[in-house]
Amino acid sequence: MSATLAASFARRAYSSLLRLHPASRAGYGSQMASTFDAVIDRAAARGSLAVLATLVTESAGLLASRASSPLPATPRTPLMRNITQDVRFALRTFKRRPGFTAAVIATLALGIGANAAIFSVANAVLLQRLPFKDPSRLVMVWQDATALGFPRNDSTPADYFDVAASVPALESTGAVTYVSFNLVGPGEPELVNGLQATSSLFQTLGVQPLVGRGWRADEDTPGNRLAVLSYSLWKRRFNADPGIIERTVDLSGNPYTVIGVMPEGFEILDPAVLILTPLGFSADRKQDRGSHFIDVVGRLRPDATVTLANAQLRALAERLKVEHPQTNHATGMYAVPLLDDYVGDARTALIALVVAVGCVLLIACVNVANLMLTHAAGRAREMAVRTALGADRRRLVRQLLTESLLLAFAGGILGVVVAAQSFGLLSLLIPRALSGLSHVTLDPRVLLVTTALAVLTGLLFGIAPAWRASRVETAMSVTRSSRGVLGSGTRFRSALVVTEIALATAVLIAAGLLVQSFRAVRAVPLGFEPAQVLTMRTSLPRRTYADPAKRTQFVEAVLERVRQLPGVTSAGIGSALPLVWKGGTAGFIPEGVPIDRSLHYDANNRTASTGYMETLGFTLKSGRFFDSRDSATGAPVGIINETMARQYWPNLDPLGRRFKYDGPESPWRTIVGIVADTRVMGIERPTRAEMYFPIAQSSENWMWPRDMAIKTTGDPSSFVRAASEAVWAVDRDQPISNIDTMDEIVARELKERQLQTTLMTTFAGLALFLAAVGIYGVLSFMVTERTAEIGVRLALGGHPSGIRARFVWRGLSLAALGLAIGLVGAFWGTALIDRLLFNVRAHDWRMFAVQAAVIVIVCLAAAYLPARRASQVDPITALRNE
Amino acid sequence: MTDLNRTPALSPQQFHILLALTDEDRHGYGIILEVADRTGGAVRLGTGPLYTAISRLAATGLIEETSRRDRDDERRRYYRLTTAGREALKADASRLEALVTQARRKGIRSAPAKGRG
Repeated sequence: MSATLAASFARRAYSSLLRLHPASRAGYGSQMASTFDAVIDRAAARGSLAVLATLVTESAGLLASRASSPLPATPRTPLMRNITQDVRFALRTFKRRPGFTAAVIATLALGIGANAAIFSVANAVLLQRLPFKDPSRLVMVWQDATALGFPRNDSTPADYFDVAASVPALESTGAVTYVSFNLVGPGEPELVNGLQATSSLFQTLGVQPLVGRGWRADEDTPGNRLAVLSYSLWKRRFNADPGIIERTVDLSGNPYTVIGVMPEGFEILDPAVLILTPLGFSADRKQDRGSHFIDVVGRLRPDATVTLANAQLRALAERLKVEHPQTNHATGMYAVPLLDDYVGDARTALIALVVAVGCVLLIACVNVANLMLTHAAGRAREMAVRTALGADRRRLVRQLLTESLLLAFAGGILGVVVAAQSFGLLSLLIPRALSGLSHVTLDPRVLLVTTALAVLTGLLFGIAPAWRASRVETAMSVTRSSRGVLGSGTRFRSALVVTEIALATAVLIAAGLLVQSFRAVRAVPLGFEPAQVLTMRTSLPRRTYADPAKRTQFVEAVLERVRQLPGVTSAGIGSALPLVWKGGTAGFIPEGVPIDRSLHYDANNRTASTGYMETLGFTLKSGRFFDSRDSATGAPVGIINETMARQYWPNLDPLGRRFKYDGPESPWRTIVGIVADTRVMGIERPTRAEMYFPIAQSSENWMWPRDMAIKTTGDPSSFVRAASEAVWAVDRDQPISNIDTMDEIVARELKERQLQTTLMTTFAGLALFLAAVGIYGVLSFMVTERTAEIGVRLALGGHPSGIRARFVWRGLSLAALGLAIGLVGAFWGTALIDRLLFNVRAHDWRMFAVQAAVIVIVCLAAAYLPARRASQVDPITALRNE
Repeated sequence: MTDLNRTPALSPQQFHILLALTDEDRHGYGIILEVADRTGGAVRLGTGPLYTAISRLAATGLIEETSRRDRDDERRRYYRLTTAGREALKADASRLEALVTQARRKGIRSAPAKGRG
């Protein structure tokens, strides 16, 4: 939560409290508000927690000084006096029953806090308004190459032009592709991410530059050196100088003319994009259907729907399959609303968390209701006495109302603190594409709704029995002991407990399935060894390293230096680290094997230097890794993975056989090694066929050497300095970016799932705990209520163990009923999280059985304590009290 | 001669407020800042207790509202120490001094200052 938001919340809270203060009513109100504003402003400078802490102390001071106010000046109205009395009386009641008060406030705070937090995240992600014109009409157009293992593939230039021309549902389309530049001067050289985009992008998104202009359609030419800066880059690097327009900046050694600056908060596709430059296609490139590197953004016509666009895209894809079978035979096309595309799978996770946290809130409310009922029952006698002494029944009810409201208010404030504490952690739930736009802030509406729910619960369950209690025959209640007035409430309370257990069961099973999935994901063999590997990116500038020999020279010189560092056991450079770059494929043709029409001859392609695979801990199944023989002049070679060997050379040993890739004119390459499969495309994604080539023997754009991996003996991050210096000793101007250990890269891959699992487990624990408290509470109440009856039974020769068994049995029967309902609910509900599961079935009966056992054991423990107390009742004391 | 029976003695908050107004007229927040500053942060007046005390002091004529207005915040009111207020402050200071003197005579010494004081 931002401090500003907290401050405005604090102001509202304070000004509503202020009306209760006598000094305020004596005409000091606006001054007090002004002073409070100044106090809160100063606190806001120290953050939102300081604001909340100040609000709490100030509110306390306000209430305390109000009570002790020596102001005799203004006579109080009877209503005010009564309210004052009610508040004071309520505070005294709370003080007398600290256990009850703490239990209610803590339960509410956890329920409200957890909900406010999760709903705020859901709000920030699912209801995000993208900073474009009519964002609901924007779509991403993807290619469906599921047959090749890419269900969400980039488009090709030629396919893009077909989409732009032949899909009437789209009124405009823009094409973008990612690039990165080495930005030189002023300041240190810096690697910045950029987008090349067609001029139509501005119109499609409906956003124009804040300063200057975008480029025109006639400026969409290949290599046109115009640049539009992002607001943040303009501010950071150029001090927000409007004079930047028409100046030139040096991007990777080329002068670009700055023609515009985008407005603040404008982020497209990736928050890290800082520069936009024109994307133009040569006549040849316009015919290209083989290179998938274009992301297509489209704007629907006002009267068109995504469904219509999809129908037209399908028709187009079918046509292209026939017209261009070579490239498009396995290619489908589809559109996804832009926000859905950004949110992706995070939606399922968030919805699951929202449902779980909603269950926790319900359980919390049920518990509060239970506590209130117990509390009210205990006070039946007090109410009766007060009625006998002439108290108006409405006053009694209002007294209870005041108590409920005060408890809900306290729970609400603490809930805000709980929520605010968790935002740092929860912001990890925001998908990366939205991270520049979405900020988790406490949504006042969410807070209002959850607090209202809590207050309502308090009122409903606090007042109804109190009202009844206040009507009880006075004489009877005063003379009788405190028991028995609300006997009929027990059934209702039992129903509440059953509900709690049912909800807890469902959340527990969902959490169990997620934990199981997380374990399964972690158990997936990676195929590489991430421990003690440092990685850093050295993207070579296109212009200075146009000559392949120069690139090879750079790689060899850097590696030679790095390998000599003390503590480095091996080092290598490749085009794509595992889990970092997940795309990149090319077609290939095996030699001397009959072509299988049902197979797509397409594999991931990567380049590697000597030592690269060894450094990452790839397992060699047969043959050899790359070595010094594989130079530019050496025989063309390649290494493939086991999947590729199995799929395309079934029942054969591919070692020594040949294949060629990227067109018939390229040379035959001999397979010199076969490595075990690695999870390069994601831990949860199946391995595809994969081929590796020596850096010296590859020259395509995306096969450039890029990522260095260094295996060390000590802490890998302590080698950053020395390794960077080794790079700079070879090329002083070479930017270094993306410094990570391989362990960090793997951890990042697991981060989201880990957080989802942790949260779900926390909620399950919370739900279980609250449900246990509920069972304990209802049985304790029954024991208290029946103390006399138990005394009689014991006096008549009943055995304590029999008494104990009766109460445990009662608790267990509630648990069994709740469990049965919960299991049915979970059976239906876990289908919801099916997409989040990995190697676990949503209806895994073992998980259902284990969690059911957990519920039974916890309920047994919760029931045992009051049951034991019942069996230890002293018959004499019990009967004497009657 | 100081009257030790003088009643009512000023409350600690009232004493601090009067003291804050001896050198210049201040508004509520100004008083909070002056007191916090003078006591090295040891005394922090909350707005509730502050205005309870101010309303009391104004009602008994020890301070009065001035006509000065603040351009930053229209709602602010400045307070001035009245002659009666200055007298009350003096009297209470003397009363406290006399009490301290009597305590000293009985051998009560203040504990050595700790911390930043």
